[in-house]
Amino acid sequence: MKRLEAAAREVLGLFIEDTFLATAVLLWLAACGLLVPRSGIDPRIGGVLIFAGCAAILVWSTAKAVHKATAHRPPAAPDRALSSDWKGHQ
Amino acid sequence: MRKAVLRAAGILTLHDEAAIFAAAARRLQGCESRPGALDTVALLTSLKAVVVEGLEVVFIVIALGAARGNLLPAGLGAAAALVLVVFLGLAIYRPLARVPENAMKFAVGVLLSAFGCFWFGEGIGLAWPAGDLAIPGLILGFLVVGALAVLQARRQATRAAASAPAP
Repeated sequence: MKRLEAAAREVLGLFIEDTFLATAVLLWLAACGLLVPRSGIDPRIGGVLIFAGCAAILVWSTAKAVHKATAHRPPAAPDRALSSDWKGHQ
Repeated sequence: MRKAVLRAAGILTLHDEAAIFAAAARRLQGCESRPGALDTVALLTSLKAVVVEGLEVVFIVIALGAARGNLLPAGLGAAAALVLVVFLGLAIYRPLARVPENAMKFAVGVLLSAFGCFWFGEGIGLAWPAGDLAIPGLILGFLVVGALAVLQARRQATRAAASAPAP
């Protein structure tokens, strides 16, 4: 049973990295899918709404992750971490 | 894309793919099956490596093909893409391995988000401004949002470090 649970968790983890992000994006898209076609909003504005909502959820989710990480440990030096990623491979 | 943003901001540590591969290979070395028997470990490892991307392809083919009654051309397109990816993988795997992993994941995240938004909009009957040309706009939009998210995450981390009590 424990093995099955671990396997299920592993498979779910392949698709869902962060529950908040996945749930929020699904809810936003469901709301857009239900409301935009019926509300008489200009379809071009509907596209902007989809993009803006997804972008806002991404920023919100990263902000939450940073808050959680910095609440438990001092952060890695951001400049060094970024430069080791980009410059080290040039 | 979220993980790529957090890695670029220094919140998550960067992956060392070569080390991860070596560690996984070491772990799996004791699991070889008998010659001639079904190698379940190899089967599950390969399945885990490709199941997400495979399912994404299946969903895209069904979404694009079923919506407009073009399941066969969509399927053929996916098969042609598979051949092209295998060919490109064999031809350019060395230079590809030198591309920074996080930069590649960031780029893939931007592309998936942009195409996902576009196709979702198409699915609910939206008329995107400029039609298919909205895709480059969405790519640019997610690129800018991703870059801003990295800056915001770095600033947030720096502020948290500055306000933390000294040890």
